[in-house]
Amino acid sequence: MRKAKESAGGNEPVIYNRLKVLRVERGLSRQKLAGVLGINYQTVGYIERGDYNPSLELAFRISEFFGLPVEAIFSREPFRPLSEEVYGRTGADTSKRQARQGAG
Amino acid sequence: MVFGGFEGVRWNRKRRRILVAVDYLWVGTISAFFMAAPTLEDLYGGWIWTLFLVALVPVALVNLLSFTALKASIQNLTDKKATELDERQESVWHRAHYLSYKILGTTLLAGMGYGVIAFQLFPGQLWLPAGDQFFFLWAILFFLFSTLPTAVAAWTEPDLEPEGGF
Repeated sequence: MRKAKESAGGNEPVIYNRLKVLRVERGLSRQKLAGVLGINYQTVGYIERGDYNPSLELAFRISEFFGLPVEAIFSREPFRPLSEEVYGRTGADTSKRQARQGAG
Repeated sequence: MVFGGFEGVRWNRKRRRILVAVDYLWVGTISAFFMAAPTLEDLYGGWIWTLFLVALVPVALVNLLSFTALKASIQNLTDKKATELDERQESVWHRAHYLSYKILGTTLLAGMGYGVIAFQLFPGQLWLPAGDQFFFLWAILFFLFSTLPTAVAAWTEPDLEPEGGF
């Protein structure tokens, strides 16, 4: 879950995204995704790292490609980890489980 | 692209910044030397010009090589047409040219302002370029005009991603 810190404009608003998670989940390289979206592979990397906020048009193209609503990929608030969102597990739960396994 | 061997260059921002700083520092030093040369000639004799010419050729060659490499390390994006760039690259292209315009404009205005002051208010008291120095000043302006967009983009672009990486 990355946020855009500083992009072409300098002081752009912070935008978080899940692009890397979605891309890796589908087994796509940056170049492959860039080819599909019609952009340079470096731009995919910059978006993933939060160095660049995509335009609304590009954000829609990305959401259409992944078949997800824009707000599932981009957000002004930090994303919760997927494990927490899907299974309701928090980092504390995971730590406890790992501690139990370690003790057992 | 003058030297095709630089196509694969992918320098990080720190290295690019060092190279830009070194390039402009060299050109600045050579320029300062040339502007002071008539005085130096008085002090050290005519051989100082030979030294200058010997220094100028490698500096020009190294600058040509390093700017070619710098262009390659930012994917030649300052040389490309708008139709060949995506939206992020286009914004980098515009920002690089805008900042170059501001730097070059400020430099020209400051130089002209100094010229007016030196010529009108303090005639014969302040240094003014003469003879060959005018041509050298034009050469410096041409160098700035042709290299600044690449230098600005190389200075500001974040580190590039490895090609084809996950």
